[in-house]
Amino acid sequence: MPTEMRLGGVTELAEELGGLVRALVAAAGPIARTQADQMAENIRAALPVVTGTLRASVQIAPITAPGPAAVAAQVAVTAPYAMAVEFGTAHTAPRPVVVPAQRRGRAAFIKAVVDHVRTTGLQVDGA
Amino acid sequence: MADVSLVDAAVIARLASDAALQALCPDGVWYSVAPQDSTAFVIVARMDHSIRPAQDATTEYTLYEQAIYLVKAVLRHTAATTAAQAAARIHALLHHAELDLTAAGYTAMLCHCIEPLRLPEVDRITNATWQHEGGQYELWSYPTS
Repeated sequence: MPTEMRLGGVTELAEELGGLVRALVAAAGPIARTQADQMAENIRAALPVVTGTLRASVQIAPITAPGPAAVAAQVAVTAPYAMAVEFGTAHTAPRPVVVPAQRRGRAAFIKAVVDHVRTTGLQVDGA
Repeated sequence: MADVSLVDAAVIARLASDAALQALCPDGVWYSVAPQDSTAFVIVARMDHSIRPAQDATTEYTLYEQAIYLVKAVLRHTAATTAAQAAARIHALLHHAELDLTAAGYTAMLCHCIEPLRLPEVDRITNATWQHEGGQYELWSYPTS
């Protein structure tokens, strides 16, 4: 006896999922920029100041997201001696500012995105 | 009470007890800064530390701690060859190593390199060239005491 199975709505489901991704990317872009601004502020506040050049060199650098379902923002400290301050020299100790700010900034960004997703009624596990 | 500085000491001890690293960096392994006149040494510095708390029905406890260590060989040399060899030795000693943190009152969960570092430096006063090579290592652990 032949049995036939039909699966309907696949195209609609794919479109719906695609719409979710587009909506999330659209919402996550401003979140990323806000978090990058906050991270830059935190770095400026924590950097040692002698002439002010190092602090003034903290910038939100333009960066292209690695794909259509991705957002990106980059905080850069462009003073030529920034790495020497962060990681130390032969005679001076490291003064870590960027590394901890990066880690906290990334965590804050993920939390903000997860919070946003939850406001849409979706469930997020493992965050 | 858990004391993360004892974990720092355990990481330093792990590196300092290795004969091959000692041969490449005979001036020793130091926390943050080496004594003056050292020319071939290893620096360990805790760049970041965070605690993930948890709670059961009655008590609050630490689920795990994450520490980021800068671990680098620093050598006064124009060529980077020896610094690279020392960095490779550091990597072999720490990357996916099972660190014994018993004396520190911790149990290690994971230690791995999250970002390599290579940084040449020219001293503006003496014109000496220094090679800094190593990486950032992330250490996950939980206190046992």
